Order: sequence, then structure tokens, then C-alpha cells
Amino acid sequence: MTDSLDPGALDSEDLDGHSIDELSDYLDSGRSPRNPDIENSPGCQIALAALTRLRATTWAMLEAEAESDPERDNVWITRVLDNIKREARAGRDIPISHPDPTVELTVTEGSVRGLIRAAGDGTGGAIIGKCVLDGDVTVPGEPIEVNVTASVAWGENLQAIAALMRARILDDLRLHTELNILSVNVMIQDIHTRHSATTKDVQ
Amino acid sequence: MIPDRHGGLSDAPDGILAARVADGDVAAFGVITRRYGPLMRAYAVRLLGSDIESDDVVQEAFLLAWNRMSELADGASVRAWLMRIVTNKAIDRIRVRKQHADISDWDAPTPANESPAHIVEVRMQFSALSSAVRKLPETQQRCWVMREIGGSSYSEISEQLELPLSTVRGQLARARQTLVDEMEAWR
Amino acid sequence: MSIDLDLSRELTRLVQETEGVTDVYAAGSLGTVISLSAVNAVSDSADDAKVAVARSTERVDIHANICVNSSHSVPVTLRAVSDVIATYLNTVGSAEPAFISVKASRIE
Repeated sequence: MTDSLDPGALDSEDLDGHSIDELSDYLDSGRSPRNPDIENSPGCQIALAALTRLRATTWAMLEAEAESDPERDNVWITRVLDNIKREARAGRDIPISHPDPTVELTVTEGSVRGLIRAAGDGTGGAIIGKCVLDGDVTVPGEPIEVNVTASVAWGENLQAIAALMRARILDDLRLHTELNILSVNVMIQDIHTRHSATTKDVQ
Repeated sequence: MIPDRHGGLSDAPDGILAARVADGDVAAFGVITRRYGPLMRAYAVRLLGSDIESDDVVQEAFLLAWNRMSELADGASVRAWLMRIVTNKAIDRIRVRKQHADISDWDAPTPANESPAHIVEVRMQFSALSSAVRKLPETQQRCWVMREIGGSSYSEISEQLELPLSTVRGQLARARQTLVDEMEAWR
Repeated sequence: MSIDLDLSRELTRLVQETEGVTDVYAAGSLGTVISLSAVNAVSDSADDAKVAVARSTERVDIHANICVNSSHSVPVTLRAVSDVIATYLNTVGSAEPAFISVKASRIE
């Protein structure tokens, strides 16, 4: 490699005093704040277009290389998941009453969160995200607020889905816990479409 | 009437999955590993030049990701975050390697699967870029891959590769120049 | 020791058969229960002995960690499990008072 830049698409003489470095940084910043000097230079425009194409091709290349090999992926994904299950987050212990003081019954916060996710998932194609039990769940009778976020399928009635989800979650919590639920709050955070979430749309 | 549709976890946006993982949902983590594992491995192969080691790096990265998912700020890009973890894990390996062996240990990455049926123009562009990247000197290649794929900042690259900031900038400028020239020749 | 291992095996079997229980987990990290008496603690030493039995001079602690089928009420299932354990301890008879703790770690 030589120290001087080869003449080519990014010939520095055409860049009106700007460097490739500078243009790459400008691109990284999403061309904001707008730099009129760069935007009005034909040479810079050509270079920016070339850098943009390079970047797009880079990701396309990586995705092509990443074309999954399902069998191979299954092996290591299973290994990873096996390793993490052992330390799944249990959270706090939530008491369940028993008349005999020598008996102690509890249900873990982690399993209750799983219960809430299962109750809310699928309601109009919704998917539960975060799930928080606000309040001291370790003390019987303490008022508890349930706060969940959710992503809802495109085109659904958000109000109706949130209401139905609340009802389902509340039903399941009443069946499976003795928590004093003050309210279940559903915050719709996202709208998703089928197969919307691929690596491409994160670009 | 609201229809119920189950089995949608694989369609869930990253942010929702990350929130579930932070709450201990193993199934959501499975979706993330499937969504980004292959991409992370391809990146690790680019950084390490080794197919076998890259598997280990990606596994280590995911184990760390599971434990740290709650630290991921709301709305942050899960992919960028995972790529960053891969960068760190791969750099650890490169450092260890440096202590044990000389530079010739570095193998050229295996080319992507190139069956004749796949050779369409777009594909050839990847191949062109792929071989152009592979032809870059090792340091240029690493700087470029860390910057463009791993999303590392100049100072992070400088720190991790133990190179002066000015060298990193110079290496990146040269890599970009070469790659753009090669790619433009294809147009 | 071997008596407690047998006791653990029998309790594991009984808990596993309780309605609403889909799985019994090895009580690996017992926290307070085990620390009361580190002596004679039996837990994950055997695959079929998952219910922990910890004995001291003045008490015996039993701990079961279970997965509950979501079509069964968790409180009802937990009580059923503790009843099964208490009933069994009564039939075999024990000099020391028994303390039973049952935890639902998963609902599916």
C-alpha cells in the first residue's frame, strides 16, 4: 500500500478540500446537521454516493455470508439456550397462603411474569414486551400495579386489544396468585407486521 | 371480535424481544439468537479469519448478552449492541493469539458459498467486495470491518487494536479508498 | 443419610404424581432452608431425589421446587403438594417437627 491515495472515484482533488474520512463521518451522522459545502460539491456528492453504495453492499455481503445453515445453527443455539436456562431470572418470591405456619408456599416473580406474557400474547396478534410488578409482592395484600408493554399487529384496534389483554392478564393473576392487583396497565409500544422484524430493517 | 394469533414471537420487534429477555424469557432469547447469530458469526469470521473460533466467539457473546440484556437502553439497536459484544470477544482472542503465535497464523476467511446458481450480478458484487476486502492488508481490514460492521468508534478501534488514533484514521481512509475504487469499477 | 435419600426419592415421586405438577426441579440453591442445617443435606446428588431434605437435631426441612401446568391453579397445586408431603411424613412418623416449603418456579 502506498501512502498517497490512488486517483479514482474518491480522487481527493475532486473533493473540494474535504477528505474521505470527513465524508464518512458526515455519512455516519446521517448527513445532519446539513453541511452545504459538502452538499453543493459535485465531487463530494459522487464520493458520498460511492460510500453509501459501499456500505449497503457491505451489509448485503455480510447477510449473504450469514445465510444460515439451520443444522449448524441449531447445534450451537441449543447449546447457548441450555447454558442460560439454568440461571433464568427467578426474581422475588411471592407468598401463597397456607393455614399451617410450618408450611411455606411461594411462586416466583419470574414464573408470574411468564404467566402474564402467556396471557397477553396472541391477543389480536399482540406480543408482550416488558412486564413489571410494581409494589412489594413479597408482602401479602400489598397493592400491586402490573405494567406491561406490548407490540400489536398492524391494523388492529388498539383500545380493544389493550382492554382484552388487561382482562386476560387479570383473570390469570387471580387464578394463579393471591396478589392484590390494583391495576393492569398496557402500553402499546410498537406495531409490527408479519415478518417485519428482519435484520434488514434495522439498517 | 379480536382474532387471536399465536406463534408471533418470531415476528416481534427487537425492542420487545430485548424487554422479554431482560425479564428472563428464554424463548425470546432464542428468537434473537436465530435472528442475529448467523450475522454475528459472519462478522466474527471477518474479524478473526477463522471459522471454528468464530463459533466460540458468538456463543460467548450470546451468554454475555443474556446476562447483560437489562443494561441495553430502551430503544437502542439490539444488533449494534450484539455486534459490539462480538467485537470485544473477538479482540480478546486476537490479543491472546498475538501472544502465542506470529501473524501468519491468520487464515484468509472462507469465501461465501458460491454455487453457480447464485452467480447473479448482485452476488458478483458481493464477491467483488468480499475479495477486495480480503486483499486488504490485515490491519486495514480489521479497522474497516470493526468500523463498518461492528460500529466501533475510531477511539475504540485505536484502543482495542493498540494503534495510535492517527494510524486508525489513515488505515480506514486507505481501506475505504481501495474498496470504493474496486466497487466503482464494477458499475 | 441414606434414609434421607430414600425419603427424598419417595417425596419426589409423590410430588411428581400430584395433579397439576408437570415437573420437579432439583432444589439446587436452597438458600435459607439448607443453611439452617448444612449437615445431612440431600439434594441434587441423585436424579430421582429432587425434593431436598435437610435435617438438624430439632427439625427437618423439606423443600420442593416445581413447575405447574397453567390449566391448574398455582395455589391449589402448591397446597396439594404440601399436603402430599405432610401426609407422607405423618405416615412414616418423625421425631422432629417438619417444615415444608414448596415453590412454583415455572408455570406453563
